Amino acid sequence: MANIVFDPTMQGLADAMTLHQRRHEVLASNLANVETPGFKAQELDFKSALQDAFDTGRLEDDPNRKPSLVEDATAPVRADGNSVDLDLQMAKLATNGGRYVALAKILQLRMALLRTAIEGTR
Amino acid sequence: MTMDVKTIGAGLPDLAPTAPGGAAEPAPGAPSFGAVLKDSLAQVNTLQHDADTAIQSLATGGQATLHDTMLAVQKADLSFRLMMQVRNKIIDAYQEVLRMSV
Amino acid sequence: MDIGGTFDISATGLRAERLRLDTIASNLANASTTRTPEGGPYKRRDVVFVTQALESDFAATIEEMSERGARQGVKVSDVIEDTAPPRMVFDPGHPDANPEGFVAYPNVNPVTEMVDLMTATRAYEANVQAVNAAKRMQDAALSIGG
Repeated sequence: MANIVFDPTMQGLADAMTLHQRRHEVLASNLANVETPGFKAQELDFKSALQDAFDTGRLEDDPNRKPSLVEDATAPVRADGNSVDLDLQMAKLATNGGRYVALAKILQLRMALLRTAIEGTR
Repeated sequence: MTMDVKTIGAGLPDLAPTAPGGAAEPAPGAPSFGAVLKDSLAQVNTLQHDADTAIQSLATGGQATLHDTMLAVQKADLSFRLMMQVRNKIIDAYQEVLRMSV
Repeated sequence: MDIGGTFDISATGLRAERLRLDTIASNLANASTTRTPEGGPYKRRDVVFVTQALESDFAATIEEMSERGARQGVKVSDVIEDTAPPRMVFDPGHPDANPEGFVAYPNVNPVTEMVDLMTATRAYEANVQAVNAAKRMQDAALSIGG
């Protein structure tokens, strides 16, 4: 009975949040190394993993669909070998954080809805 | 929170059908209401345990993420509340039946 | 690992940029120091940044594909002295003038230092932004409980 109440989308939302948290780490690493010679900017490619999180409610084990850490090949490299564009990374940081917050809000609302359904409005 | 949820079920009346004529016999093959209830209690217990595990992992710097832990705690909380509501309704219904004049 | 672990990455960035700022401040303050305890004028200092991998213990359901890992901080591996020659200025009356009448001034170019100062400040602020974003995300996750 209890598990009828919780649909797979909830876990999908949580998994999506985890992916965005992971991406935040990659972006934060880029920013910490903005002055490190030879450091190449990285990005987390998680489109397929994100899709799975919502379609099936769980992350697949297929390595092709896992999130992967990729080097941003299009980023121009400066004289010291560093390719981190400060403004670009900060813009990505802002949108990534915004999505995480939005997902958290949706999850919170779902929970509130369930609580109301179970206990009635109080 | 390590309370064992199953003890709450101890207060429930025995739900096996005992009315004369077997008016409350479940359909053949389908689980009895009592069995469904017992199963639900077990699920609530599992969710409580999952929440405890997640909290411990979070507190000791383990692998649990904050949002997964919050979700586990909320699921345990809501399923518990749902079960309490069902339990209260069952007891109310039972007492209603007792009050009926034969 | 909760979102708080992300603070560690940005903390290393803040620390490294802070050290760089201190070094630049020292260069600027000593731009005209012709006499040091070691003898000779002040020598410009610079910091060397290297990537420092932080341990990753992310949930098993999401594994990184790169052996390098995603949690890469930074650290200052060295504070080195600039080996560029000092700036010689002809001033025979100066107490530190050499026999030819030239005074050795530090190899510090204030303009270069100011540019570095701005870069380091921007980098520092960027790491602050990362910390703020992580803090907002953490608050959002806590609100799931209602």
